[in-house]
Amino acid sequence: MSIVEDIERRRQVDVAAIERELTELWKAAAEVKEGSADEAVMRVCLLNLLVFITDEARFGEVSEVVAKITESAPCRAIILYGNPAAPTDETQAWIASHCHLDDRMRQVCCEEIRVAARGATIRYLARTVAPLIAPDLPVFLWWQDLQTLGEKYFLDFLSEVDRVIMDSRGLTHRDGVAAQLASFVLESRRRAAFSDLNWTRLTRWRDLVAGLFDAPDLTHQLQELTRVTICYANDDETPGIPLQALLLAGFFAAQLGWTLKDAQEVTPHQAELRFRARRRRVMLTIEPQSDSRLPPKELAAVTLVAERPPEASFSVACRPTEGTDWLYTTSVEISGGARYHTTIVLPSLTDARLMSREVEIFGRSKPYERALRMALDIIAELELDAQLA
Amino acid sequence: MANNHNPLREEARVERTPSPCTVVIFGASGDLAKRKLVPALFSLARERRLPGGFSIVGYSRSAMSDDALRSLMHEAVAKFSSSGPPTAAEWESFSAGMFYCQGGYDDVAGYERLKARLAEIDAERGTSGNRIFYLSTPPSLIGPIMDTLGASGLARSAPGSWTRIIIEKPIGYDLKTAQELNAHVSRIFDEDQVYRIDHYRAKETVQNIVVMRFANGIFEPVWNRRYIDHIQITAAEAVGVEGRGGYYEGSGAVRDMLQNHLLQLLALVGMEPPTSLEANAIRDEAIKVAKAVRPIAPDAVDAHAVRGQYTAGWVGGKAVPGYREEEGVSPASTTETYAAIKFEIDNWRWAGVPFYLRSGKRMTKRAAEIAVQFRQAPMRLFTTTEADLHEPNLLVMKIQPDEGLTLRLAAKLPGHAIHLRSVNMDFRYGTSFGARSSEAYERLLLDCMFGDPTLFTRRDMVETGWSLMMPILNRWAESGERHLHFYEAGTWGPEAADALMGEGRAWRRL
Repeated sequence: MSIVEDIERRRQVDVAAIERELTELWKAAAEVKEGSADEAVMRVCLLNLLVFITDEARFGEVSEVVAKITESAPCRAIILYGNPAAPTDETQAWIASHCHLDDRMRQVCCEEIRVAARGATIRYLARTVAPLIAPDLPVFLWWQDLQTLGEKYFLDFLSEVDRVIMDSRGLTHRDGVAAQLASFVLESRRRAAFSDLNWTRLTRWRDLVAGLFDAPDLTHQLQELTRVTICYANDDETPGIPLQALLLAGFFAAQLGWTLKDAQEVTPHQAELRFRARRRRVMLTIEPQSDSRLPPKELAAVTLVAERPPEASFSVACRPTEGTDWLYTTSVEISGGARYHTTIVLPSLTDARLMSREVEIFGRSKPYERALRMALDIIAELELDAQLA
Repeated sequence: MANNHNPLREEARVERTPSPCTVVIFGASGDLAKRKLVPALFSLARERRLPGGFSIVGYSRSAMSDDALRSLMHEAVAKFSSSGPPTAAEWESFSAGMFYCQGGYDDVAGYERLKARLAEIDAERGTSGNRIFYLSTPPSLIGPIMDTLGASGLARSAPGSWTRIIIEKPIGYDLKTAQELNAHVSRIFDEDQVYRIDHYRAKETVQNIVVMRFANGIFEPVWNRRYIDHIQITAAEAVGVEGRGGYYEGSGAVRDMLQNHLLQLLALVGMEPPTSLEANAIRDEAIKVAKAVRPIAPDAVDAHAVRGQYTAGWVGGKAVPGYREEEGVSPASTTETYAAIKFEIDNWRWAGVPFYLRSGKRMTKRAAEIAVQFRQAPMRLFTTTEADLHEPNLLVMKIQPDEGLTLRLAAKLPGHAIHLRSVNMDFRYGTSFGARSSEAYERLLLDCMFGDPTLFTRRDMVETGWSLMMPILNRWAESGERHLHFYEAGTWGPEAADALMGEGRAWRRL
């Protein structure tokens, strides 16, 4: 069981005195506990988590997500709000703490700092934050605004952090920012590694699909695949192929050594991609699926088929349960041979859950970068196809 | 692309799953299967660690249908699964691979039915002839089961598949019976097919001993006789024999805990760095240090070992009976419920550093730990008053219940004068890592499916453990009630154990 509470009301502090104020906050918390029968509060910090937002009203919502993250990854959280267009030039800061009960009902606490940079002060945001970073611990920056990747106040952070996390959810191949994001990640020569929560959402899909081929007598089927279908939850309102589906297609192609030959937008929601593998051709279709009850553009099913006899079909499908969980069904069917179906229930992917996983990873992810590079090539082919049409 | 290389696994969060296989549980209706094995397998399935087509066959003498076994296990998993009860969809999927086969343990016809059932499962679920036989039965049945497995041809693998056998402790009652059992096993199975389970070794914190020692450069330079005064290894239980008095009468603290679990801990703390993480590299180093433990001569047992038995007392706010008043225990029993042994290791690293091992039931509280007591600083520069006599540095690896590490240091008290106090630097797993640790059985079952015997006990380790304990057990068997020290339930054991420690040393109060 775990609960979240503030030891002390969130209070505004002088930016230059944040560390001293935090020390006071912990002293006060310790004194409160000394008078009670409870165990002393434990201040735990395994990493620094910086979160950048552009809507001041989201401070509370982000704080709740951070509190959830601290349950599995105790951290010093610094939530940054930036608004360069604000009429006044000012920087404000607040401190608070998140506490939860660990597995033995001890109170474990982490600190949260909020910094709001308005007007021209945003130029010095990275410099304001640098002394607040807990030393010798990894620094993660969750940048929640894809529109500002070219801004100096973002680029200034890249020498201060170990990993930058973004989220391309909702982007399609038609969004210019998708290609821009991909180029930025692939061409960056900075110290920081980059990742995308949209890639993290694919993690369980990658695990489940990989698991279908783990058995030694099935692994070779990866070299026989000829047809792949990726289905995503339909979204009539926004045309375009979701970047998430393109990343998965890119992952398959890059990991299995396929070369892109051609990409065609069949409808605004459906694409056909043709690859050449060593001794065969592979057709990969990305298409919408109605009635999946999943959030728009979320992956709904993947099927991989090796048509050479005996035909083998491998699939993973997802649907929500009555509660908050998602139900995944994996199946292997081999004509004239063994077959099985497995059902797995996994929790739905909230931002807190995704971030908790993301902060366990350090360094660059080569599969992600290869998948992204391939997705970028596919986007370029789809654009070319559209121009020719 | 190399054979069996799955390129989609690169940087996957869930590690590769083992080859599809069937686990055959002998003694499927027993307590261990219900409380530990099937719940552990279910948790593995839930965490996506099991291969598609994975199957379980329960085998026992009771008449039961597949559905009856599924229903029995559903109840057990709902009650004992460490990851919570199954949803309907999860159970439907998991139990679809669960089957039952009835037969006697030495009944060849029963094993022929089992063989036919396994062949059907191979064809239907793609388990490819891979099998694990889990002997969840009393020790007396191990021989008949192995013989019948051998006679029915089930002990041998078809080409391209594998067959493994898991044996629960106790491996023998003494050195002779352990050697006989091992010889019996080796007539039917090759050593690389045999997995002797020691669930203690698979605990997350026990595995962390190797990581702490060999992944942190600061410890190795001081991990020797020059800096370490002594090491205490403790496994204390607050519970008594819990209705298993009959079993415990034939066992005792040495057979139950010291001969296997605590010696394993000694080996992990004392071993040299392995050349790799390969199973035999670690086990070779562990056996090397175990073999370097100086055997206790029969006439030195009384100076090196103390046994005790609890009397009525007070534990956890309740009055509890003495051992001799427990059900199934003889009123004149001399079985030790507490044992403390001082070992020395004859090698360059540890010469002159005593290792104190103790384990007992009905002690003050449940606690297991390894405490590495460093030597006092060579010069007491800061000692000005009696109050400043701080204790030497201590590193404690806590195994249960508060898994973690504590390092004791001296620090200056605030103020103008220099006064010292001991302070602790603490690291607690449950606080720093929110993720659930795997249960020991989950880890061991999965390792066996992968064919990784690192956490299982090799034949030579079992026999070395027994050979170190035999002089003590023999001496105590000859002594009757002499040298049996009684201690009140709820205490840290008999006072006589303090004498083992020698001057300037004391057992830790945990």
